[in-house]
Amino acid sequence: MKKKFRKTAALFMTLALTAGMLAGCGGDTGSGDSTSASSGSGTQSADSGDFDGTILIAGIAPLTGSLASWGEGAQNGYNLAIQQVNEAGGVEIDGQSYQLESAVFADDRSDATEAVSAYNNCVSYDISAVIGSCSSSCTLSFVETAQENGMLVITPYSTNATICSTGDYIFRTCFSDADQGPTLAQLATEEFGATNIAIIAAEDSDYCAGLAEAMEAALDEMGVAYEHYGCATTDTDYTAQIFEAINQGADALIYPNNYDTVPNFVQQARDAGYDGPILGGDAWDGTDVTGYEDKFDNCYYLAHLDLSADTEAVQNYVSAYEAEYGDSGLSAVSSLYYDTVMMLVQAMEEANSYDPAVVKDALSNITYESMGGTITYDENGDAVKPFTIETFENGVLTYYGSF
Amino acid sequence: MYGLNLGSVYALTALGYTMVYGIIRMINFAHGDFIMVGGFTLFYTIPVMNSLGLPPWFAVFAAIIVCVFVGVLTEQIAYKPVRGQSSTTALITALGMSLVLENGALVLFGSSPRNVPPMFSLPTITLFGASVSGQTLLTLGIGIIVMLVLSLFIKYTKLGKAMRAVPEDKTASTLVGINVNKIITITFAIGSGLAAVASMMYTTSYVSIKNELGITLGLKAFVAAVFGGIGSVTGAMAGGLLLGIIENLVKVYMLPGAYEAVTYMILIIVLLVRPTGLFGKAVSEKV
Repeated sequence: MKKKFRKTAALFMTLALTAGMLAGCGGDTGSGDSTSASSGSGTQSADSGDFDGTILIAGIAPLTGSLASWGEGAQNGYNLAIQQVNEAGGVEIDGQSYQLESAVFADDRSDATEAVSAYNNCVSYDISAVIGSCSSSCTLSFVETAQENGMLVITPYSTNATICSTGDYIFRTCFSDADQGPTLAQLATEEFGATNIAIIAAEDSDYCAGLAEAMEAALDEMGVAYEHYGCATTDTDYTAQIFEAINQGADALIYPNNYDTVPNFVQQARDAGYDGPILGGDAWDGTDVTGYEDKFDNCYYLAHLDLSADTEAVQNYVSAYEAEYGDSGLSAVSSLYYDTVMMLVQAMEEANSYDPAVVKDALSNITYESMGGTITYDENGDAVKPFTIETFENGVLTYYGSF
Repeated sequence: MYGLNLGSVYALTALGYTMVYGIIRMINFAHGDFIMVGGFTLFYTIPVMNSLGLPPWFAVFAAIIVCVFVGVLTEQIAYKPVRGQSSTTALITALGMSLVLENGALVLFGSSPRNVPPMFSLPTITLFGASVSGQTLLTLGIGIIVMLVLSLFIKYTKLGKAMRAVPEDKTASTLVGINVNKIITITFAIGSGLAAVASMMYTTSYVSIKNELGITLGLKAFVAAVFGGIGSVTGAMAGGLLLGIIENLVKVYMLPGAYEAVTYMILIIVLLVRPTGLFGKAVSEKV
C-alpha cells in the first residue's frame, strides 16, 4: 500500500516537474500576442495590393530576480510603444507601412549568465534590433557578440561607461556613467557644498563600481576629499560603513547602488544619526519608501526624467501607461524602454530600412525628443542628454532640479 | 562593535538551525526561508495590528503561528517520509524544500522588494563611548533570553529530556515510551517559531524583504551554527555574534567586495580543524 503511494507520488512529481519545465520555456517568450514570429521579418505577400510586412524586434529585461520591478515596467513600456506605433500606422519605409512586432521579451533575471541565453533566444528570431537590458553586467555580457554578428543593440538603462565603446552597433537611451559620475560629484560639491564625501558602492556590480570610479576620478580632479567603502549587491547591513563615514566626518553620503537595497541603507544611515544629504545614481529609480517616508528627507538621485513633469510627452505617456497597465511598474525604466522603441522607429524611418547595418548609421546622426530631453549621440554611440535631479518630499518623488 | 547587529541576527537564526540539528541530526536548509515566510507575514499583519490599535510588534504572534504552521507542514510532507533513510536524502530534501518555499513566495508575492513597516522606535544608546542602536540591543537581548529559555527547557523539562533522548537512540526512546514522531514535530514547531522571532529582528534592522532573503541569511547562519558547534545552543549564539563581527571587520578593513569568501573560508577551516566547532561536544558516532 505504502509502496504504491510512493510510486504514485513519484509519477506525480515527475509530471509536475515536466510541466514546470514546459511552463518555464513558455514564460520566457514574453507576453500574450507578441510571441508569434510566424510572419518573419519584412516578408511581403505575393500580391502587392495587400501588403503585410512586419519588422521584428526583441527585448530583454529582468522580469524575475532582485530587480524585477524594473522588468515589469520595462516590458509594459516596450509593449505600449509597439502598440502605439502600430495604431499610428506602423513603420513607414519606402512608402510601405510595416507592422512592428515583438518576437520575444526575454528574462535575464539580472544575471549576466542568464542574459547571454536571453540574448541567444532573441537572435534566434529574424529580428532587426535587441532592446535591452537593464543591469550593466547583463548588457555587457552580450554586446561583444552582438557587435561581431552585426546585431543592433540599444540598451535603455545600462549606464556603464564601457558599453557603447564596444562598437558601432551598440547604443543606449540613457546617459553614460562617464557623464553620470562627474555630474553626481558636481551635485554633491556644488549643490550641497560637500567637502568630505563618503562613497559606499557595491564592488560586484559593473554599474555600481563603474559609476563610483567615474565619480572618484571627477572628485580627484576637483580636489575634493572622499573616502571609498565597498559592499556587495546582496548586502543588507551597512552599519559598519556608515559608522566609519560618520567618524570620518562625511558631509555627504553617496550610495550609487540598486534600488532594492536603498531602503535598508537609508534607514540604517538615519538610525545611526546621520542627517546630511544621501545621494544616489539613476538605479535608485523604483525605490520603495513605504513606511519610512520621513527617513527619505534629504535624499537625492540623478534620474532620466521626472514622471510628474507637466510636459505633454510625459503626461501622455503616464496616462496611456496607466490606462493600459495601472500604476504598477510605472517608472523611469518603463519610459526609457518606450522611448527606445520610439527612437528605433524614427531611426528606421530616417534610414528607410530595417537592416541593422543601415539603421545604426541613422541612429548615430539622430536627434530624438525623448521624455527626459533631447538625445543625440557622440562618436561612441553614447547618448548626450540632460540630467534630472529627483528628491523625496514626505516620501513622494519630487522634481528638484536639472543639470 | 559594528557587526553586533548583524551578528545577533545570525545568532537568532543559527539557534533555529542548531535546535533542529541537535534533536534530529538533520540540517534544515529551509530554515532561512521560514524567516522569509515570517517576514512576509509581518509585512501583511503589521498594518492590521496598527488599524486594531495594537502595538505593531504584536504581529510577531501572527508570524509565529504562520511559521509554525509552515514548518510543521514542511516536516510532515517532505521530511517525515524520508526519515528512515540516509542523511544525504534528508539534506537534499531540505534543499528542495528551500527552493519550493522561495519559488512559492515568488509566485505569491512577486519578486519586487517590500518594506516591512517599522515595529519599534528605539533610540541609539552610547555605551562605553561606542554608539549602539536600540535594535541591536533588543536583538541581542531577545537572542540571550531565547538561548537561556531553550537551554533550561532542554535540560529540565520532561519534553526537553525526551528531546535529548531521541538523537541518542531512537529505538530505545520508543521503548521507554517516547513518541519519537511527536517529539520531532514539536522540535520543528519550536524551530519555526524561532524563525518567526528572528524574522522580526531581521526586518527591524533590514526593512526591505524579498523572496530570496532566506538564501544568504540561511547559509550565513549555517556557517555560524557550525562555527559555534552545531547542536549547541550557546555555540549558535557565540558563533553568530563572532561571525557578524568578523564579517564586518573584513568588510571594512580588508576585502569589501569579497568578504563573503572569508565567511565561507571560516566554514571550511572549522570543518577541517575542529569539526565540532567552538562549543560542540565530540560525540563518537555509534557504529
